[in-house]
Amino acid sequence: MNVLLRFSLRRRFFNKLSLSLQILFILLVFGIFFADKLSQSFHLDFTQPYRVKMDEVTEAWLINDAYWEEQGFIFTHGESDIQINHVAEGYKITGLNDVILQTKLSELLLNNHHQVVISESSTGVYEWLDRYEHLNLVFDQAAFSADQLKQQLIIVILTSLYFMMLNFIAVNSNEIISEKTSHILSLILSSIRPHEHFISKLLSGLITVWVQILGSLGIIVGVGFLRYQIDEGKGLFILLSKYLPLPLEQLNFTSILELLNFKISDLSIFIISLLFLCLGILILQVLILILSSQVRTPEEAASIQGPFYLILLILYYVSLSLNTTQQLSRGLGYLGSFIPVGSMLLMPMRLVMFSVPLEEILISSGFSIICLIVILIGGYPFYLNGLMKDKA
Amino acid sequence: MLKVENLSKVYGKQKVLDQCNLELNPHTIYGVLGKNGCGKSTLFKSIMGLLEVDQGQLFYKGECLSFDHRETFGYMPEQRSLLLDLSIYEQLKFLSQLKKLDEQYYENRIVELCDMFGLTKEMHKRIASLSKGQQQKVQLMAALLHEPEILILDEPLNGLDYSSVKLFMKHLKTYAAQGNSILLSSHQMEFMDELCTHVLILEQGKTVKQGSIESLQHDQGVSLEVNAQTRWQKNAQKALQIEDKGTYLELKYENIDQAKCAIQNLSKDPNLRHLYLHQVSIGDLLELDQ
Repeated sequence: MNVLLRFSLRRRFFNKLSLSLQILFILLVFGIFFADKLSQSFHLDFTQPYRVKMDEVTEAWLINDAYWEEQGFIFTHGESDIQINHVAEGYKITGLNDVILQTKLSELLLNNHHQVVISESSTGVYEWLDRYEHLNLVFDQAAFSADQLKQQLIIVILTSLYFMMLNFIAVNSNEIISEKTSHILSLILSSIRPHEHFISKLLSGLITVWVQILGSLGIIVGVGFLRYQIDEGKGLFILLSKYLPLPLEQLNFTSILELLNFKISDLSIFIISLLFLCLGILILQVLILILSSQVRTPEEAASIQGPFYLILLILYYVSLSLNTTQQLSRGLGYLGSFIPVGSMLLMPMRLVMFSVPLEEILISSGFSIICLIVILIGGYPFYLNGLMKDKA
Repeated sequence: MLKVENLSKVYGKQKVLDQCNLELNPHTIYGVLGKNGCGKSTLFKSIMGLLEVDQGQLFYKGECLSFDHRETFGYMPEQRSLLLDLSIYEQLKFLSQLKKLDEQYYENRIVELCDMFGLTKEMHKRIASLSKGQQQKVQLMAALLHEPEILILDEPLNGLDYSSVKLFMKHLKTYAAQGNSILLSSHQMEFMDELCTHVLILEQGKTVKQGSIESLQHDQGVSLEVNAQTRWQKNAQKALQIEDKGTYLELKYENIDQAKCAIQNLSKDPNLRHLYLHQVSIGDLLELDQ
């Protein structure tokens, strides 16, 4: 069994295509973490402020030059990217067709206009405008708290892992189909017992998933750490602030981590969520192994894998639609978090949103384990029969 | 060594193997013959445990045949069972490791087998780049890796040219002569006479003839060709049939013993110019039964 396991893994990871894709992935991660440096190296104008040229009337009209510079615009009399000229109807902007930049510039100009109008008004009008523009609203919950950001981050990671794991289910399925259609299975099964073959496929599937996940994570953390050593990622946030209408320019990796304030409890939530994800994936893997063993030709493989993925995609969207406080506390989301396979997404969603009692976690995971055992025991004869049936 | 007793296998309503019996002993090359779909591959797969039998028993050295016994057998399936993206060395190494062979042993054995089958230069070439005949050789090499006492070969001569067939036969005969047993099937009847010591002829899963080549030929009768000038009349008493073929006569005898007796007498005849003994071949046996 060990030989088959090692052989499968070696064939999966140590081939030209896999290695090329890994290199491509590393380059991509480098590209993302060092986007600002790259743009500077290639003289791409991503991080440079936009040079704005204007006529004398407009120049006299603008109030706060420093604020404009903070927002990524500098005024120039020489060569420029954007031109603002005063016309009878208002201001004409030339050389700008980017929607985000147009919005940003419009806001800056409108803000300037407000300030000019206010400064020109009498005290009475000024006070009236001040009252008109300001209404003090206090919400008992912050619209965008660090906790929510953290929850969303965990959900994003878990759902990414869900899709990553689903992808690797296909690897096992394809391997069995390939072994069957190349007839190498006859030779393998004359040397190892069918149950060893079954277990080695399950294990190789799980190991593949984890090697890929941990490998990708290692690359991301490694490259991120490298970037951290250089400037804590400040340049990256400056680049982002230019394109996103959010005040990101003051942020860096340390401030983000401080903001998220990860605790041990967050780590335990993440680990329990991963366990649920693994249990669900194992159940799915056993199912697809049994189904794949029934396939006689490579063409038949798509007819099995297609509907399987469709169901899992539906499961993903249903889980997302149930990701609300109401549904997860007593609705369908709550019920679904106890159902095997459904619990692989819904229980983690509950875990990040609420403090789920330990007994509920145990009951849900117990159901999944029982389901896995039942499928393993009940499905093995079908697997065996499937492996053998085209051999007559 | 290997004993098959009353083996039967049914697919749906069709009985593909019906009460099949066989005993494979050392130094034996047992040929399983018959038309397509007569149950040859089913018999081999049943022995290898790749199919569950519906009835019958299998024994190896007096014990019920188990996976541990089967693991020691060498098996070559009918279809090309190779991973085409691997080299000969990688493929054989993988199968050796599956068989849990010692590393030093299989490293030497792979080199030895490549040398034996003339594939030393191709050892590190991808199997996909080899000819069909060379791939067939790799399959046989895979079956021989662990020097099994029992070799089960399903259509081993398929896709081989004449010289390769001769090479295969040479190695198989040598292998059997070393005390091993070979069970094989083939459509190439012209080589079976030379290769097999025993045959089993199947028709729709049923055994129609079985035994050693000698005993089957003995039972089937023989014919003698002699030139017309000989005093054949003396030897014609025991002949079943006499046919005048113009320049020669054909005398048919019930068995080889009677023919041998006639040959002894004819050899003393000074007029004897032409004497040819014609025995029934395996191909003839197959035709006789179908």
